[in-house]
Amino acid sequence: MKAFRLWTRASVLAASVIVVMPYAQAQEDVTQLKQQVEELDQKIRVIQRLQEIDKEAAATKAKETPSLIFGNSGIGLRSGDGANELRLRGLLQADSRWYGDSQVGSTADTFLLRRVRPTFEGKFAKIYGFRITPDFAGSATSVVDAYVDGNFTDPFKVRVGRFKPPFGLERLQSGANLSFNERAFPTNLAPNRDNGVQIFGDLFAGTTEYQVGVFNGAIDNTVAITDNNNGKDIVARLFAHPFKNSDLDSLKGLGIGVAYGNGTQRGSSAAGNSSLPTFVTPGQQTFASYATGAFANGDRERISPQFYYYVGAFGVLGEYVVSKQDVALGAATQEVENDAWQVLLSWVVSGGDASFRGVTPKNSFDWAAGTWGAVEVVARYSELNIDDQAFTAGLLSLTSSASKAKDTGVGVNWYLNRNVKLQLNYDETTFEGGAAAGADRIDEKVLFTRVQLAY
Amino acid sequence: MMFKKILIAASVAAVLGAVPARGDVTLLNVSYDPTRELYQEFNAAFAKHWAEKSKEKVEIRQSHGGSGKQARSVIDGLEADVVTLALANDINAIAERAKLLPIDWQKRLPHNSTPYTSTIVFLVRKGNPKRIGDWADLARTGVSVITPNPKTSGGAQWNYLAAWEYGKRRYGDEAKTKDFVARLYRNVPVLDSGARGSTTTFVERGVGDVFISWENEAFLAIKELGPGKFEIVVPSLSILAEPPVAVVDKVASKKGTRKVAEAYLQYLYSEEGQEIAARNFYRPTDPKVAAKYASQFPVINLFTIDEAFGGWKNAHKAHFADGGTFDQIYQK
Repeated sequence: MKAFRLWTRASVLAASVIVVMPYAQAQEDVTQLKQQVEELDQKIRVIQRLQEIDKEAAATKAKETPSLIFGNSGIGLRSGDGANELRLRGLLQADSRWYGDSQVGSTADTFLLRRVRPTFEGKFAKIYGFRITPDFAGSATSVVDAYVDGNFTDPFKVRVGRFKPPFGLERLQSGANLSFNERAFPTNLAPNRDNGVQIFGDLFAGTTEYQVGVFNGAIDNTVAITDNNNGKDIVARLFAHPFKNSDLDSLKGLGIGVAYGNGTQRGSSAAGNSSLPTFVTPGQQTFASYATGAFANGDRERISPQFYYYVGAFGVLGEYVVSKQDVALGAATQEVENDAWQVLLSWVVSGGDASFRGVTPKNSFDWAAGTWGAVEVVARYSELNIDDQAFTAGLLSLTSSASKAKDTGVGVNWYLNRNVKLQLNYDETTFEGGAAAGADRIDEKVLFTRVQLAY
Repeated sequence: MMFKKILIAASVAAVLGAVPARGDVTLLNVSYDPTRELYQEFNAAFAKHWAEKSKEKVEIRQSHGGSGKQARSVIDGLEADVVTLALANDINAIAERAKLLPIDWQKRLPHNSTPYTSTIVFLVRKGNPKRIGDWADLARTGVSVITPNPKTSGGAQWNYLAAWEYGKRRYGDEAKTKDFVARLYRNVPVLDSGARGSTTTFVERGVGDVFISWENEAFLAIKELGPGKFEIVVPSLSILAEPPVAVVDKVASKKGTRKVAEAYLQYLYSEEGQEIAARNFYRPTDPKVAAKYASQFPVINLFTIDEAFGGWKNAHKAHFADGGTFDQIYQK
């Protein structure tokens, strides 16, 4: 009996061992497998996270890597942080002028390159900028603009070199953004380019721009390369956009201001040193010039109230310029006061909004897509009056110089895209005097065309 | 001539009479990683306060990243009106290298220009499966630790120094301390550049067993990112983290924002500013507000950087400068 019990217990123990041992082993295996899976899962997560961090680092590095600029505003290079930039831009205008039966003297219908101007510009350390623009359109290459800017703060910037003095409104408008092929009469009385130094900036939260500069002193409508006297011109301009930050959307595009210039200009009676301007028509024909022997001999003063207003497709630009200059002929010196004004209307018939900086078409001309770019019609009236006393004093002769010129112009501009523009203008100018025996010079009627590429 | 005079007079009058629309003031606050939520709430409160006080609309833009990285950006030209960084040493670098503010900037505001403090705690997964209890557990084999890179993150430097001081007090000599910290960092599989990146690694990507975290970041993770998924473990010893603030004088003067920038930082010390800090789990320095929120913050044995390391300059030179102890122990 005892042996039987022992045998039974031994059998149960053996059976238990046989059953439990594999179960415990299996449990241990499962736990180990679970641990391995968790470890593998962690390794995968770590690898994935490291990849994410690498991607973030690569994205950050990409922001710091210089980038290539290639777009509507030229081509160039920009540092990753945007602080340094070099850019090449260009302006090409291929024109034609057709005078019809209004040809005077050597005037001839012509095709011409009006502007061929590559521009190199850039900035360094965010603050310092430069621009160099030569022009290859004339018989000789010239440097149109060459200046260095220090853009220290919005209200205080400095420009040194050759550039447009802050005076004529239409003169300050870029040549690529003109509504007509040629600027109106007020530009005849404003300086073109000059060498000097200018302080400028924006005040009152960007609602008012100002410029004050000292320049060699350019003769009306000319470029001053060097000065022939010690008298320097001071030119200042204040131009406000009073509603720019207001809620009056319809008035945000209003700009109004005044420019003033004062200096000394002296020439001599020697041929080619008169330091006096000539006056040209929209067709770029001289219709008035000072008598041989007359020369600038003292103070020059200019003033120009000016404004523009752009709302939606509609725009109007107006300016008035008075230019006074002491002029000598023989022993007598006479103050000559000439003035000019213009009103220019523009209406973008389709595809864009009007602005002082030109029209940006909402879409590009694409025959297949049925999009047509932007079309603008323009009209202007402009006058230039030469001081009657200058004729009385013999500084000009009514037989060769008109005392007054009135221009009426109309045109249509087709912006094929942001870079290509086609222009068709017609200008008709009438004169008082300027022909034999003081008769009126023959009216000038000119049809202009232009193909423009600007980038 | 009358026509001309009228035209000119009208133009001058129009120009001089141009009503300058009152421009909005914009401030840029360059801050460290985990302060996003704090300053979102504070900026709104300050803008309201400033509009009522001065009738001027102020917009505050925020920039966040690793504290060291942010300081370098300011030195390199990022135009911050104010900096609210993790370390005084990062602002010292801006003062010394870029000279954008005076060397003694820290004396200009109360509490060494530190309107709120924080400390370093551990965030572990629910149930604390690796049974993390103190710094020593972070150096155990098989424990995966998440902490950012001390070379780029201010928070990571606080973490490192807290671990170092613990090691020094527990193991005594420097060699053993260094070995302890080295073993801890061998357990770090991912070094993010900032504290927020490490939060992402631990909380969102599920990497690691323990995250050495700013106290406020740990609370925020539990509150917003993973309720019921994480626990906070308070170590036996931690560091009193004092993230300072300063106006960047030269930038603020240039931009004409100095007055509002100073008011912005002073408002951090106001009752409302302190309440906002406390609500975002930063320890307020104002005794009244601190007492109100006392139950929110665990009682921790804290030491200061001055007590343990003789100030930030010494700590940085010994541990984080090129060739310092971190470079010696961490070989990637």
